[in-house]
Amino acid sequence: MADGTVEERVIKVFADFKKISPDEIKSDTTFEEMGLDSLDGLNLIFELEEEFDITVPDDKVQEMKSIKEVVAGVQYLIDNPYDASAEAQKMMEREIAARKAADAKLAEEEAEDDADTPAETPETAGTAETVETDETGEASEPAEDAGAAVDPPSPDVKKPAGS
Amino acid sequence: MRRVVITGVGVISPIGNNAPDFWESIAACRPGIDFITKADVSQARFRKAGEVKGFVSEEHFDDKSLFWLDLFAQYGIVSAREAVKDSGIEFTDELRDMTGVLTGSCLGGITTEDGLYYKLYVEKVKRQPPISIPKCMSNAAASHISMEFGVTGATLSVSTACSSANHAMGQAFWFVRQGTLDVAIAGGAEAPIAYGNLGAWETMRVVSSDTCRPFSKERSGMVLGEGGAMFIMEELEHARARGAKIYAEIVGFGMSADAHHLTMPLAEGASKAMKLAMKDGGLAPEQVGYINAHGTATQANDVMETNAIRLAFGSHADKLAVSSTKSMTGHSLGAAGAIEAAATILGMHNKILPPTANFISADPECDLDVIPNASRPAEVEAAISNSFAFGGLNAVLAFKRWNG
Repeated sequence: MADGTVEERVIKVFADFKKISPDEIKSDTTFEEMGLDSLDGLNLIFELEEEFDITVPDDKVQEMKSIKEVVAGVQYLIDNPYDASAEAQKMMEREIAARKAADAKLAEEEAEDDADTPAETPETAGTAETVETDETGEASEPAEDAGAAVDPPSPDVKKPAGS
Repeated sequence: MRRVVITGVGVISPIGNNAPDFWESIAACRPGIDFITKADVSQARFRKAGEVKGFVSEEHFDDKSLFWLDLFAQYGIVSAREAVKDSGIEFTDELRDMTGVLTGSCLGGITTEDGLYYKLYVEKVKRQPPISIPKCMSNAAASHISMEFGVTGATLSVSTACSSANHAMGQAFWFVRQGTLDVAIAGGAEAPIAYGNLGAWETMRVVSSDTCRPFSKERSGMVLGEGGAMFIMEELEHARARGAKIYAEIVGFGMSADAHHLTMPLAEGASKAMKLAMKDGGLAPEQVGYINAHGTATQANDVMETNAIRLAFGSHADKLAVSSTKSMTGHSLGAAGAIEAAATILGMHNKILPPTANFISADPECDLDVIPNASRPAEVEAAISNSFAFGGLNAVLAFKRWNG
């Protein structure tokens, strides 16, 4: 483990980046005062992730605009590790489950339509999901954002395609 | 002054592996963004991209050819073949002499390169295979296309990040207009879905973990794409003499540099390129009815682009229809301008304006008519297509509807 408090280590990362002495950076120094722009911010977040072995989520990046805020953010992430890829995995699994449910519902409705005489028009009740096809096949039907239901990929992790 | 028309279109994209299928998806507002299958994203923050689907290399190339072809070059060649066939053009020796190929690609053979580095640094191979340079060089698509059709006119490839294809097509247009060429095969091709490259995009924190929602308040970044699109750009009298079908006229090309920032765009720079495209085309702002936006769905671009459009068009901006087809295809980098030109040209030709998909609610800072979630039957006299690249390099094309 590196020496120093979180604040000292954060200040050292910034001082090394700006090629200045750590003494020139105080707890309440802001990014603006240090003349750091968005690209500098991106690089500094990267250096902090490397220094502390943490992952900084995109929304936390917005909160970190001064040394004090960075120290607080880093401490929070040390205590509450953020796993970005786990979040992404969860989102993917939720979406796959939702698609399966939507497909199942559609299949059920189609089966019912086949079985019964269609006495009433199904309500779509404001949910974005269903696109009941009418016969015109017109260009202008609002579509789901995920497009037509697609089977999720099998996690077939290959080595890079290469030669 | 010579005039230049589009007489052939070829497309490989996440929403169709030929121009008619691509157009059908655009008209039906059917996005092709889905979970990534072509690279390992199990550790990544984002999981989705616009991937070309069902493209089987062996259906288009024999083994001997494939040996030399990265996927990006395959996309370029196949879309060029479609464009040439679509145009019905016959390459006589005389025409071959006056035909060139101008393509855009930001990354060239990045998938091949990624794999070669893996072999070098992880498998610690002692020797590089001879395919390394020819397969990875970003001019590979242009070179292969010129060889396939035997065309020997001015041929080049451009790499200007997200503006590559527009820069290539703009130059192709100028070459034909000024008489350097009579015909140009022009467009772009990109296949960036490789492990290393995805990580590089992730660290820029501009890629959405949701999907691509240009101009929407709920947007959260771009989504990568891949593919290729190529056009036959032909001198008008040459096209007329052979009774060619004409999709549209390409009338203007405008370029600028922001001279501002490596990654943040600037409205003044973008609007300068739009104004120059219209000036080059002899277009008044009021003649433009549709803009195919750069529309990456990043926080920065969509606001900047709205402001740039207002700067370039003044009060007419409120009468414009603007959409981002990246909402359906993703951002295919060096191919983006070409795929978007296809949407623009086919839209004008078919009198249906492409939509912005995945739109949820309006952002007050992006207060233009963005054709949300459904394509719109409409006839426009002229349209422009924007590309604004990292590093502040802007390239805009202007088209006019062809009425026969």
